[in-house]
Amino acid sequence: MFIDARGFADDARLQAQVCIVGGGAAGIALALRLGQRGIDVVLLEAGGRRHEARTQRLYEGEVTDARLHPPADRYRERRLGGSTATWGGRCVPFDPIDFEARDYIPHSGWPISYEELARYYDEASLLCEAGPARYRAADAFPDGSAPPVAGFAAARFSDDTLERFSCPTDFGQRYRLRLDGAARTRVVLHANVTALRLDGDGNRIAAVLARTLDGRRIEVQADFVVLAAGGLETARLLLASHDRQPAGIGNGHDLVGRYYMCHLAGTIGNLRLGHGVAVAHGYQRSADGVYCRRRFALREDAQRTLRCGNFIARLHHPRIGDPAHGSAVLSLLFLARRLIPYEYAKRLHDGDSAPRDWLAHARNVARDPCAAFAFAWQMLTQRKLASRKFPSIIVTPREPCFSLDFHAEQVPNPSSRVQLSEQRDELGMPRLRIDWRHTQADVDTVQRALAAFAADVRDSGVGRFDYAAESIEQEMLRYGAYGGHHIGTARMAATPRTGVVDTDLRVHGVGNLFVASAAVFPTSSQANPTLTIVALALRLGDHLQRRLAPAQAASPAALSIEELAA
Amino acid sequence: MTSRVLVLGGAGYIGGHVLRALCAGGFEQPLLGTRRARAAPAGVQLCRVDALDRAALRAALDGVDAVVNCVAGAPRMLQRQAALLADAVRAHTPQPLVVQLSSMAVYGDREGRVDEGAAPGRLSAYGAAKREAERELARCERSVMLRAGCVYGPDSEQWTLRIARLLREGRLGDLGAAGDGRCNLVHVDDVAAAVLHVLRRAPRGVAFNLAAPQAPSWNEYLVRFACLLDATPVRRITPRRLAAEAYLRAPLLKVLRRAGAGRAAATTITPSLLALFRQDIVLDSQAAERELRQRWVPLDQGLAACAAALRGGVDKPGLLSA
Ligand SMILES: Cc1cc2nc3c(=O)[nH]c(=O)nc-3n(C[C@H](O)[C@H](O)[C@H](O)COP(=O)(O)OP(=O)(O)OC[C@H]3O[C@@H](n4cnc5c(N)ncnc54)[C@H](O)[C@@H]3O)c2cc1C
Repeated sequence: MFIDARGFADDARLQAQVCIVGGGAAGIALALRLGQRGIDVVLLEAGGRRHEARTQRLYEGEVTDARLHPPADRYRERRLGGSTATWGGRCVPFDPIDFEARDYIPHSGWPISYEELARYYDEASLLCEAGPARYRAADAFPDGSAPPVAGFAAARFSDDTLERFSCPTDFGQRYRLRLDGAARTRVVLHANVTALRLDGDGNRIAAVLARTLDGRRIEVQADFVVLAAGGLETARLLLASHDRQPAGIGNGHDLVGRYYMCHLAGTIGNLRLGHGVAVAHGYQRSADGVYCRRRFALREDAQRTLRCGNFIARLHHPRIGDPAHGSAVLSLLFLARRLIPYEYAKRLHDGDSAPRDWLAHARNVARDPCAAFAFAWQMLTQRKLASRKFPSIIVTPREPCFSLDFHAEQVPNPSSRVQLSEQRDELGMPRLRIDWRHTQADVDTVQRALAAFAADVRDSGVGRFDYAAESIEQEMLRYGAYGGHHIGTARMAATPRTGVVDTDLRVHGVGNLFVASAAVFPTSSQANPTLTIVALALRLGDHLQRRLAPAQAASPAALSIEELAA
Repeated sequence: MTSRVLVLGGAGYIGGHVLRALCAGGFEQPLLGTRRARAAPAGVQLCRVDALDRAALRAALDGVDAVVNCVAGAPRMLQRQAALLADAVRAHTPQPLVVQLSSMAVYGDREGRVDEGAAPGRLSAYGAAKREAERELARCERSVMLRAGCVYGPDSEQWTLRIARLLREGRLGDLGAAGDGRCNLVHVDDVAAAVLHVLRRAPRGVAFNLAAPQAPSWNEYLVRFACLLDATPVRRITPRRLAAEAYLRAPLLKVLRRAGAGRAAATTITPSLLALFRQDIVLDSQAAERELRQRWVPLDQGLAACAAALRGGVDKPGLLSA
C-alpha cells in the first residue's frame, strides 16, 4: 500500500516489525523481500513518485573542493526509486580478491566471505533486470562470443568477464505495483526522516522521526530499523541523531562518514591496433535479451604482483569535444549536448569550446550525414522508445584506434570523509560537507594497471598502447570523483573499533539498527556498486526474517460440500 | 473402483487427454461424449450426445458410474449445461460420480496464496459461469471440482501454441511490471492424472486446485519458454505496445471477425490476458497432493518437451484463439 504523508493528521504514529528508511535500490529490494515473507513493513521515503525540486534541495550540501566532487544534490535523486531513476544500469559483481585483506592496501578485507555475498547475486541481478548472474563470457554465451580484441594474450588482463546491463530499471516505477500489492507493506511518501531516537540506555532505536515539507510529523516504532537512504544520507542521519550520543549514533570510534570512496575513472591513451585485428567493443545480447559487454579486467595475481587495487578497462572512442576525431556521430553528440542530462553530459562539457570547434564539429557531421542519421535513429528506436535501452554510445572509428576507458578501485582512506556542516536544510537538519580525497595509492593503481595493459598489448602483438604516464593523475581527476558511487561511510567490520556495522549489517552497539547501502562496503572494488547493494539488502532481508520468525499459517482442511454449495 | 466412465466434451483438448489416460489406466471402453459426429479412437466408445439436451443427457448417463465434464464454451452456455447435467445425474439411482473440470477463474481477481476455501474476488463472466456451474453440480450426491490453472502441453492451443506464436512474433517477451503476476501452469497429463485419482480414490473434499508448485512469474515463464524456442534475444515489451495490443488491435480484430472480414483466427492479446499476467495469485494445490496423491510434471521438463515438439513440427494456427 502507498500512503502520502502529506495526508496524515499532525503527529501520525505508526508501528511495524521493520521500518526501512529510503526507497532506492536497497530499500525497495529489502521491502520486496520482507513483503513476500509476510513481514509487516513501513518504508519511509523522502520523495514522491517524481523529481520535486523542493525535496531535492534537501540533498544540497557543501563540497570542500568543487573541482573534485560534484555538488551534493547532483548524482543522486531524492524520490521513490532513489538514484535508480537516473542510473546507467551497469551491473558488475565484486571479485573474490575484494574480500581479502591485502597487505598492500591498508584497511582492506571484508569481514564476510565472497561466497556469503555471491549466493545473492543471482536474485540481485534478476531484480536489477540484468538477467541471471552470469558474469563470465562462457556462462552468458555458451555458444561463444567475440573477445574485445582478437588475439589479445591475456597474461595480466582477462577479457572473460562481462558487465550486464539493467534496462536501466527505475526501481520505483518497476516495483510500484508489487509494493502496492504486498499485504503488509506500507510505503509512506514525502516522509523525510530527520532523526533516529535512541531509548534511555542508548542501545536501541526507540523511534524513527520524519517530517513532511508542510510540517507534519511522523513517528515510527519498529522492532528493527534499516537505514537505506544511500551512501551519503545514511552517514548524515547517523551523525545528525546526536541528542543522546554527541558524536552521533554508532560513531563512538569516529568512523561514521570516514573512508568515503567513489571510483577513479577516466579516458586515456591511444590503442592502435594492427590492421586486420578483429575488434568487438560493443554490446552483445544474451538469449534473455540483456545487453552484455566484455572488457579487460586486471587479473587477481597481477594485482598482487603489482601491489595495486582492482581495475578494469574498456575500449572507448576518442574524446568527444575534440573535433580532430573526424567522427560525424561524436560531433553530433557534441552539438546536441544540451539535450543530454547533466550527469551524462559532463564529459561533453570539458574544456572551452571555441566557435572554431563548433564549425569543425558541424563539418564532421556534414561529411557523413548518413552515419549521423543512422546513429540518431538507433538512439530513438533502441534507446528513447525502448524499455530495455541500448546502454551507451558505441562508435566504430575509421582507423583501428581507441582510447581506454578505465574504472579503478579507490583505496580506503580515513581522511576522505563527509561531516555535518554548519548549514541547515529547510527541515532544520544539518547539511553535509563532503571532503573527498584521493591518495598516491590511487594514482599508483591506475599507473601500474595501464603499464600492465600496455605490456599485454605489446606481448600479444596486436598493436600498441601509448599514453602519457605523467598525465595520469590529471586524467583521472579531470571530472573529479566518479559520480553516483557513494561508498564506505559506515563500513562493515567485525569490531566496533574498526567499523560502524557488524557482519549482519547491524550498527555496533545498537540492537535494532541496520544499514543497507554502499556505505557499508569496506572497499570499493572495480565494480559499480548497485548489484552488490541489492545483494546485501536481500541478505539482510533473510537475516531479519530469521530474527522475526513469523508463525507459518496452518495448512487448510479439505473443502466441504456445504461450503461449496453455499 | 468406478468402471464405466463418460467423458463429456471428450473430443476437446482436455477431454481427449482424459480419455487417453483412462484407457491407459485400465478403464475399459470409456465413453466419448460429443455432439460432433466422429469416430472414436480404439478402445473408446462413441456416445453422441448434445450436452444441452436434457433427455439426451439423461439417456447417456444410463449405466454410467462416473461422468467427467470437460465441456468448454461461452459462459452462459457453461452454466446452463452444468444445471442440465446436475438434473440428469440426480434422475439416476445411484447417482453417478461427477468430476467437473473447473478453473482458477472461480477465484476471480483474488491475489496471494489461494486454497480451495478462499472466497472469490471480483469474477469475470467466465469465472462467474464456472462458479455457478460448480454450485449446480454440488447439488449432486457425489461431485468433485478440479480447479485447474493454465493447462499446458505440447498441443495446448491456449497456453502453449498461442504463447509460442506470440513469442516468435516478438509480441510477447519480458513484460516488465506487466508480467509480475504468477503463472499457475499445470500440465495436461497432470490434469488427466488428477481425474483418474478422483475416480479411484473417491477423496474427501470436493474441490481441488491443480497447479504445479513454485509457480514462476509470467515474465520468468515467458523468458524461459522463449529461450527454449530459440525466439531470442527475448524482447522487452513496452507498456505502450501492450496497451496497443489489448485496446486497439484486439478490439479491432474482434469487430472485423464479427463482420466476417477476418476468417483466419488471428492471435490477440486481450485485456483479460493482460490482467492475468499481472495477477499475483498462487494456487495452493496441497490438498490435491494430500488427498489425491497428486504428483506434477516438473515445469522445466514440461516446457522443454513443448518446445521440442514445437521446434520439430509446424505450428498451425489453432481453433481456440481468444
Ligand atoms: C547518473 C548515475 C549513473 C549511475 N550508474 C550506475 C551504474 O551504471 N551502475 C551502478 O551499479 N550504479 C550506478 N549508479 C549508482 C546507483 O544509482 C546507486 O548505487 C543506487 O541507486 C544506490 O541505491 P541506494 O538504495 O543505496 O540509494 P539511493 O538510490 O540513493 O536511494 C536512497 C533513497 O533514500 C531516500 N532518502 C534519502 N534520504 C532520506 C531521508 N532522510 N528520509 C527518507 N528517505 C530518504 C531517497 O529519496 C532515495 O529514494 C549511478 C548513479 C547515477 C547518479
